[in-house]
Amino acid sequence: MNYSEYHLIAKDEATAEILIALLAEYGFDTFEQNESEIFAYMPAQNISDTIEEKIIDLQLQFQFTYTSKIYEDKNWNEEWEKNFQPVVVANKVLIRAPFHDQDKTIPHEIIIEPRMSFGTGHHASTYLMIEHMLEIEFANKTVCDAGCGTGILAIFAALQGAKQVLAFDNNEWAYNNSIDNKGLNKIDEGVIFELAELDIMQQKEFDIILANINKTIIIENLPLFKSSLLINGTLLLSGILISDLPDVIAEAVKHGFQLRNSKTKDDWVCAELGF
Amino acid sequence: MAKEIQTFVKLQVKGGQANPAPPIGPALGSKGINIMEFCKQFNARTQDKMGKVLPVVITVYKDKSFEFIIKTPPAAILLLEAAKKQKGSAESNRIKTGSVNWEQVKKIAEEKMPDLNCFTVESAMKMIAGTARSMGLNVTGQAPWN
Repeated sequence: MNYSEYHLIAKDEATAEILIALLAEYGFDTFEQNESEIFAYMPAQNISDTIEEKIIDLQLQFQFTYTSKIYEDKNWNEEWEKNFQPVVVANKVLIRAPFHDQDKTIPHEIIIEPRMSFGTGHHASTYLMIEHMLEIEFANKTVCDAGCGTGILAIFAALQGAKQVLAFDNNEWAYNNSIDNKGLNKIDEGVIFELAELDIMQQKEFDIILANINKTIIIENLPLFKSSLLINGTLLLSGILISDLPDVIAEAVKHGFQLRNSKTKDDWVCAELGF
Repeated sequence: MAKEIQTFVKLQVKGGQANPAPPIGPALGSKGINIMEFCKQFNARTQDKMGKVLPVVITVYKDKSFEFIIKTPPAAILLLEAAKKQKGSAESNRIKTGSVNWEQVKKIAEEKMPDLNCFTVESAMKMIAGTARSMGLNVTGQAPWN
């Protein structure tokens, strides 16, 4: 996605602070401020004549100069992706890039070449999901991976014998990356990756739902997870801080879920629920 | 031994909405930081401040690891939020006609005290009220010291 940068020079630092507050109202999502200088950013596709008019209105009120430019979409994470270290989960799963050596002493292997997508095992939320998945029976199960990022969890579910996997993400980088990673792991056609929102789960039922997202989205979608989960199915949640788990569980209980098990690492928790 | 610091990156990001696009992408990516990991952590830690602009200071270490601290929202952001409540509308942003009361100013001053160069809540309130007026917001009611 291309991003627009607006570079404003205000008359002083206090005015710059006010301008940030107002520009945030117009949809700018991220800012850099160096004293009276502001860089404000939003997706280029969201810049409209209305926004330009509002900025000109602000200019009359607060007197500043500005220029704008477009940042073309590119992989900003490339530097890290060129030479990251492989990850070993519980001495049983090696997560590596194609440029890393194989390790035949570790029983399972997932090959991930991330491209500005989340899910390499370095972050505790992914690590915990993989560790937890080792304890779940995937053979002949139907699986959904909601917010799949690199596709790592869907790929591991397939490698563990899942019959059918539907994985999706609403980010185009993640969608393209997950398809490439599927190829790297020589997964068959039982795994489908889609560029989609969570409502793709509607009218479908799964034995296992994997969701490494965040507290807010998980809580909002508990009814959807419930309606998409088969009886005796498993909902595996991650992307949750340990301090946020009580809130998530309290909401989940309202929808009939029970906490079956959980694992923690650093500040993060992965929770297995069922009903 | 303490890790060696490479640099500090200061940004203001909406809670729960960090993504690898500019400026986060170029600012952290060029230093070899895993941007996706920063975004995941930042978004998780700001779930309760979704959509609110939050200053964040990221410490980048020479070993390409990072830590960050999230500061309180800028006073102007808090004032705008307070003005909307005062008008009873969550949608209006026509601040030229907006207002905040001294009770709201005090609450903001107390929240911002750690980041302000003020020794007393009263002096912080005067500073916040000044920002409010610069934004075109009226400060209504009687100042507590009058």
